[in-house]
Amino acid sequence: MTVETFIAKSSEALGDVKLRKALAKAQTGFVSKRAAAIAECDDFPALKKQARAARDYSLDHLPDLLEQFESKVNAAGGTVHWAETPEQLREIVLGICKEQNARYITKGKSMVSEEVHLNQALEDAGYTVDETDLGEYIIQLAGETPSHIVAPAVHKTREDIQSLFRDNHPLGDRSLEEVEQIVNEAREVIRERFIRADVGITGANMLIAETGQAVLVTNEGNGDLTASLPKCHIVTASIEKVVANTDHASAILRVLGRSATGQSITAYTSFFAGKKQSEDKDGPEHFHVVLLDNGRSEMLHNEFRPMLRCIKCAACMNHCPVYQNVGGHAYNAVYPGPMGSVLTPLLRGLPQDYQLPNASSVCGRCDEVCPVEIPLTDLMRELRNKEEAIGGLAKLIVKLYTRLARHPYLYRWLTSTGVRVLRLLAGSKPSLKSFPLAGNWTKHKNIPKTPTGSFQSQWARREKSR
Amino acid sequence: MSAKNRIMQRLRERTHSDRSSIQAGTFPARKITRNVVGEFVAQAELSGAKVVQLNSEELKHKTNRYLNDGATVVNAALAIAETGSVALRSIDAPSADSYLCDHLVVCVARDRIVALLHEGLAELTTDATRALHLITGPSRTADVEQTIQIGAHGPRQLTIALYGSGEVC
Repeated sequence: MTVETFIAKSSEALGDVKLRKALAKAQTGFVSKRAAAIAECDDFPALKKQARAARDYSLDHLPDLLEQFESKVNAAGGTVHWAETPEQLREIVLGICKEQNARYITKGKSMVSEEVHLNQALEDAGYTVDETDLGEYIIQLAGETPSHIVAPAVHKTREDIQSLFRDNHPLGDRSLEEVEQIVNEAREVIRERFIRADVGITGANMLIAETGQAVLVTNEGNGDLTASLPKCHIVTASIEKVVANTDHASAILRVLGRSATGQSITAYTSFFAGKKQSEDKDGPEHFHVVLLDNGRSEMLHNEFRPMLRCIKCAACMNHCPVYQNVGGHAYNAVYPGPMGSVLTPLLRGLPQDYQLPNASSVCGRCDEVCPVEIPLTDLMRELRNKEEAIGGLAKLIVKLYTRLARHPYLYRWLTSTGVRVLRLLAGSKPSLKSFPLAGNWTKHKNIPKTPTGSFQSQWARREKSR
Repeated sequence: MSAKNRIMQRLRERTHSDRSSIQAGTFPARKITRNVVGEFVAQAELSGAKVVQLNSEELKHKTNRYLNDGATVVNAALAIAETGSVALRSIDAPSADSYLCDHLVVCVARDRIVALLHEGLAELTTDATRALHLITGPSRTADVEQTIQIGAHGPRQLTIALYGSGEVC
């Protein structure tokens, strides 16, 4: 079995014209919408500081807040379960579904469920699993994994979706040309599944300790139908999602929609306290929250603690020049882009995962747009220092460069000679298509013809002529 | 030792210096400059909701019209000006009804509009309810080529009927 590496997959992705067209659309969408949404705020940096403060408070008080959350949920008649590993979470959910004699399961989007490969486990056990978020539904039909943590099917074109629907919905002759027609068809098809479901599984954007509520942020309304219609609602969430109270939840909500989709707030922001009580007009009879650790309790105590502030808005990957060009599947991980480049080696830790923090030009855009001020490039650099997957040659080159950079005269001599050589090689052409030892670079870029002399020599000449 | 105990033990392994304070969340996205009702209407309309301003006589009549047209009509516990959202609770109406309909009409008393998000949420924690839904505009998705399409799974239309205090629709 060949190891799927970022280097291999990103090369493939760069050659995929269809994918790059889809990504280009996403790039303009997300980036411009976020910019417009933060422009209408009085003081977005202050909102970021406030959101960061709420997240830092959560991390500083994590065990106590989790205890408080659990006791509130228990008091409301729900049950909180604790899973250290993906396997434990799958076992717990399978156990609940068995207890419920379930047949049909609906799902709202949950990245934690992707992290633990929950759908596969449920289907292997014989349950029918229906994704209800349109993006998740599309990739379920395609048999793929999500390529973005907010818009799972961002890599799919309209034509892709049309053929998926034609192949999977036996609805005869009809037009699927317009986006409206596609969405209406999905609405019809998925509606019956909401109604027949025995168990509904959702994620949670936040867990509020003071009130024992799970908060779900959506635009489609599918999360709420998944939570309210079946007789059993299961929430899967990672432990760092807990926040102290509704004020802190507000702080996070004020930056979440803006950073993710450019909305001041999403169409549906719901707070679920548990099962149906006598005063409620409807709701499930059973409410379960399954908490996942999977390496986060360790991160709380090491230099990667800031990563736990993440509110999963995807702003970092929307603005990342690497992600924008190769998309999420190249990362071969549940969490792609800059946040995934930090989280994946820490949560999963396969040798090839360390290619991810190396797949960064350290441009810092992710740092700039992160609404909770996670120092992503610093964390990526920390992971690079661990050098789990950097080959011997790269280590040697870095050592040589460090030596060279400490000797200014030698450095200057080498670079001016290098510049002269490049000019000679280029001749009359405006750029160089190849260069010895620079095979990987020149595969996708040309080296532009260098001007006369290095910057230093040009500067010296300028100064002299004054 | 249970999974919970092991996780808790790992979490409590070290205590870090606590420089954070519980004070966070009261700084709004925008200062509310004009009157709260006006700000609410502006934000609600921006989100794609239709706002209808009624007086006490019109309320009963208008909501009956909506009902006859097949809409679902519910009361909001309160509304939030900062975001243009209405708050629906499962103790007031079944959640399912508010999501499965095509046209949702939400009645909001003008004196139940609060200015800021955290103020609204604080008020709403006083009464226990299984589900609290902050609804802002109609249902939508952008999962097909980043094109916003109204009416994914929830209502295609959201109408907010504002009325004077004292009545219930």
